[in-house]
Amino acid sequence: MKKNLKKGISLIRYGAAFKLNLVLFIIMFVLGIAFEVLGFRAVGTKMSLNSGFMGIDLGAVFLLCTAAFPGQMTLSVDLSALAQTSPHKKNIQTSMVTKMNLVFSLIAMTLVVVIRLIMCAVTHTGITEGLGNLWYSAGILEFVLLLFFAVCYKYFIATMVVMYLVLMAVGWGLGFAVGSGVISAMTLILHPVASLLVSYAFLILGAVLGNGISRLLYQKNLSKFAFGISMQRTK
Amino acid sequence: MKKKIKSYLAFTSNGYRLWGLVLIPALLFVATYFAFSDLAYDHSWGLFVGGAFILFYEIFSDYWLFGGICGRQAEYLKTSLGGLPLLESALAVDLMRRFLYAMVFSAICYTKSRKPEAFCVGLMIYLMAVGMLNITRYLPGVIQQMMTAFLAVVVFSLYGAATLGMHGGILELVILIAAALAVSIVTVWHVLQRMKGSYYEKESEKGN
Repeated sequence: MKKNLKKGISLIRYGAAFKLNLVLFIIMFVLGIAFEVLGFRAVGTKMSLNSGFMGIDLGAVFLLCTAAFPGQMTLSVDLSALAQTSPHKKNIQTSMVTKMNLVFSLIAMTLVVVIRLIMCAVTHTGITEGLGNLWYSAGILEFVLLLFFAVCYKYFIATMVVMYLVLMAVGWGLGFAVGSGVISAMTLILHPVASLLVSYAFLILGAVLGNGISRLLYQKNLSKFAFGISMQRTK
Repeated sequence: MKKKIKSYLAFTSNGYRLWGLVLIPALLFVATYFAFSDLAYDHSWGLFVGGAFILFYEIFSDYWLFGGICGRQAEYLKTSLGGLPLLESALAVDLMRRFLYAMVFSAICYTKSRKPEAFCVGLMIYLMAVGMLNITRYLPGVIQQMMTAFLAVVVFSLYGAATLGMHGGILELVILIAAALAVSIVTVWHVLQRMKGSYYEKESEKGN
């Protein structure tokens, strides 16, 4: 596990458009932290990024998506003919990417938890309120995202459609239900430790399933839509 | 006009035409009719919630079509004199399509809620989407596009939340229409400049 992870991380700087990606990574990371901090409000209020405007914690989503950047950069190494001649070509697309996704997502999720705990202390909110909704505002979505990142490079169109549907169902459905009072925000709150455990369980499950799926789909060509016009060669 | 539409269709794959132009927007419009417009009737922020979904769709789906086109240069269409006009037509029709879909969203919300701010929100969606397209057409990957779309949605929602109930004036409508026209022209011009510049290799291959 460690060897693949180290190799994957060392390949990041050889990915496509490395400097641009690095700048974007830093910007998105800072924005993610800013949204998480500024959007923190106790669960009872209707329109906060944290408690469920659209049912999703957008700050956490930002940070968790940022965690998938290194994986994508490593994957783009596999686009080159040189990488295709290497014995590690399968590993790059499957083990390395999913392990990097797992590790960086764990770090990102821990960062989200730490920020929320700090905000709870600063704003004197109870920990139950601050962390209790993590499982549905970040955990479920992280599971979906990890599966998305495993599949999207192969079946771009289908995964995009499914992602819209899931985003609408989970995000809007929850947000609408909570916002209009059909489900009280309080009934969705778990004990903070339980919420943490569920979130991490979703994360690990997503990574494991993602690994399995990317192995199954390895033989399929990388979808040419997934890398934009600038990365397609004329052949 | 027919030629322009043909140019646009030349750029779109079957998948994009089916899912991106028909099915997903249909799903969004149905959701607007049954849900978001009711929200709009009760609370103005319903318009912004529905608008946020349309905005995310507009920005993310563009990746499929013109993703990365301003970045490291695409080599197609350069062997023909008709190449650049083809691209220009495709870009223009794409913007018209976006405007039309934004207006359909506004119309659905207006018929149910009778609030003129529906049209203001529709124009705001168009402005925000086209403005962000200038940035996202440089981005080289799926994740970056998705995150930029999320970012646009957040900014849009925050703006909506901050200015609830302040929309719907005639002056605002006029300003938004003028801004929409200006942004559309700039967007098309921007992509064409990048394409023309690539003939002279304006952008050196520095491992960007």
